[in-house]
Amino acid sequence: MVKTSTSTNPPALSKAGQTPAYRDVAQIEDELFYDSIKPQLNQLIKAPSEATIELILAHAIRK
Amino acid sequence: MLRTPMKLQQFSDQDLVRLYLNGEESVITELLNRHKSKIYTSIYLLVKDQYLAEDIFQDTFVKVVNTLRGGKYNEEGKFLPWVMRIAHNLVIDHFRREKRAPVITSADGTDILNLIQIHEESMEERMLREQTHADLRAMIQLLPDEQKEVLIMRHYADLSFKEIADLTDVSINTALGRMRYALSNLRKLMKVKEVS
Repeated sequence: MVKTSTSTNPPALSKAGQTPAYRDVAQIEDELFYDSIKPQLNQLIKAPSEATIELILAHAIRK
Repeated sequence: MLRTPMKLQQFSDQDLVRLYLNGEESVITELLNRHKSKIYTSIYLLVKDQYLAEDIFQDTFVKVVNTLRGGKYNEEGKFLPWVMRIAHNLVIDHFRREKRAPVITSADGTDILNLIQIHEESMEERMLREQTHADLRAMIQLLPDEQKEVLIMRHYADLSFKEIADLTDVSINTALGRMRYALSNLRKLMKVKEVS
């Protein structure tokens, strides 16, 4: 089972003894990873059905 | 005055809202089309049920319209974050009613994943594509709720970290940290999947 984690000290905040260079590399790695998965994330984009849109417009546009 | 769809696209959200309030109600179509995918995808990834997402999406925009008509819209705020706040609150209301945490499901139906209609796709290719989508969706669902929420609102709703922080009542640093942890955890999950 994969454990996911949440620290009480987010990495965006500086830690005592942590060098700026280390934090920059980690941040860069995160940004590169995010860029690499954006196409996959984008493939999950969906739109609501036309029927739902029509119901909303029927309410929103009074004749 | 009738405005062509092409011209409506040049109007800002705020301008369209003002036009709507001034009686040009058809412009709501442009606002809806402009933001529907961002808002619907965000809702869907949070509730993981297509039909429930449709209901919440509809309820969101009914509330939007009712608030606009009631003269309660704050013009100083941006339209999309305001709509996302309404959607977010409705999602939370749903979970409170259901009194359960989001659970991972894998039986959403293939029509949900058919975003890319490849008519000549082989069965093997389709299964692989659908499995990839399902895997990534499952990984997102494995994230702690607060991390999943930030990732969805940042990537799909295109909200700034300040807007996310305001919507979730945390500091910008906390929102940033949650996003970084979300990415870090996604990376771990993907590595595990590659090994397996």
